[in-house]
Amino acid sequence: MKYTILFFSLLSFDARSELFFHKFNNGSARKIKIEKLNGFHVNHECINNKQECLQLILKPLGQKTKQTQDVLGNPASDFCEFNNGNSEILRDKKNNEYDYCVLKNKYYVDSWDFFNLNKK
Amino acid sequence: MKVFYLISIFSLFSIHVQAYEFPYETLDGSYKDTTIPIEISPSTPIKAQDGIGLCYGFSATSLLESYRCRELKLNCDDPKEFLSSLDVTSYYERKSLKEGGDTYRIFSNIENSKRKIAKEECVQFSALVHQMVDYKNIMQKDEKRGWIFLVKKWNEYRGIGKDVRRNDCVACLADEIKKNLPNVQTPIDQLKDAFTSSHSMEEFLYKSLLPAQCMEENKMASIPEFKSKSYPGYNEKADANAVAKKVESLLLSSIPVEISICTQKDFTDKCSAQSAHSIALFGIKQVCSSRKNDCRTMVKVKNSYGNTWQLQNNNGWVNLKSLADSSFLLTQNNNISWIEKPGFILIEKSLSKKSVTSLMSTVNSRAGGGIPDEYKNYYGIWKCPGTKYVDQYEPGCIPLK
Repeated sequence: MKYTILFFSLLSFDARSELFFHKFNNGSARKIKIEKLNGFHVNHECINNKQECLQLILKPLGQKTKQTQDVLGNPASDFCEFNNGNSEILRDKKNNEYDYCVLKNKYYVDSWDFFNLNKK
Repeated sequence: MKVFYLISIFSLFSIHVQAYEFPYETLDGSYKDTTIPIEISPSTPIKAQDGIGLCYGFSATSLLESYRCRELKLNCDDPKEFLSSLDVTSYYERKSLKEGGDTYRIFSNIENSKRKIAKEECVQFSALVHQMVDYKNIMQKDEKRGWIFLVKKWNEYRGIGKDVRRNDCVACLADEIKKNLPNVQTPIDQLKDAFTSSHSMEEFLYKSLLPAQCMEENKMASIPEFKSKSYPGYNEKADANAVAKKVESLLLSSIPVEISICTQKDFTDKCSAQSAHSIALFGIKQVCSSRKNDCRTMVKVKNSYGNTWQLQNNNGWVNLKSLADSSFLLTQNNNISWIEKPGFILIEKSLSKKSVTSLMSTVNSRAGGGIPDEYKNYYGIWKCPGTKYVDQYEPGCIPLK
């Protein structure tokens, strides 16, 4: 099933993009361009290396979730961490926050997209 | 081959299935609004708690921010007015940070304090999450998250678990924190002091994450006087229906509510271990399905799971009954908590429920109703010229207050 999604993901590309800001305490902000690759909200680096990035997204490590151990936090963030990702909180222009999972090679994927795809 | 494509197409549309149907019941598309959605404002934007178990502190922060903005007539969209979720959470057990807790206790402790809270712009929670400086060299799993990294350093200092005791070089440990958590603004001397003066890990987390410069009274936000409330209290008995009714009255009185829920049931239909969660409710409406001959009360959830969760879950509109039911799987007391102005008396209120048969006339009325903007959030009886009273807006009518 996942390879089917991969197949279609590579065929079709949704160019809709949004800007997110990564704010630090010193006041500086880093813009991250988020684009939509079918069901996933990812960054430009992921789009540029679709195949490698989607391999990481579609092939998470071993255990799918660690719900039985700890669901005190956001389960999507926990899933990201469990799969060797690093959580980052990004903000939109209205200051709504989003959990992003940063995978190898700085591939950003929305943590809920990542979690929902692999939760079953 | 056809089957392959059918499955493929199906799979594309099924990527965004809901993360949890329980307890966030969002209902199917046959349900339509039958009352004007009431959304309480002011309200700050959606936040993300990451994988750290501070949901109860985030809910409390949401309610406190809304109360403060309303009472002091502040712009809640302005990041300068955001309260530090870490500082709010620290009121659960004064001057410590603990995963898992009780929102009502936070409210009570703040109520009985000077009501001064650090600002988020000074103590950024997200700084705790972004700690990696080099993504190519992924650190060990247990060191990745800032929170866990700090816990590990504390364990090393105290020689807890498998860690060899390292209390001989506090400066080295503080330096490691500064290097690995570059966005945390706590001065190195404060970090060193956090190691030597803390009596528990929770106290260490508080001292190392809340920089002293953010805790100076003139830099903190003042919260106007309030009363902390919860329901049912320890001497009261109530069921999910009673809690749902109370939520309805509060939201219709423009008071946002925190509710503790269970996010996962075990195979015996009891709440699984470590499945407690806390969310804030900021809106209410009724929806009906003429096809199913069924009406439900929906509430607007403000979840600290980030904005993607909101977008993937009906913009946060969830069946109130499903939340109230899940709450009783978790606890029998303090299921909901809120803050109110001193002297406020809560009057029982309920949405003027529409029947399914009136659904179409309601929708039609609203579509061309031309309700003046100032009455858009009003739901109830309208007083019209003469002695006429109606339950749907008609030109020339005003709300009956």
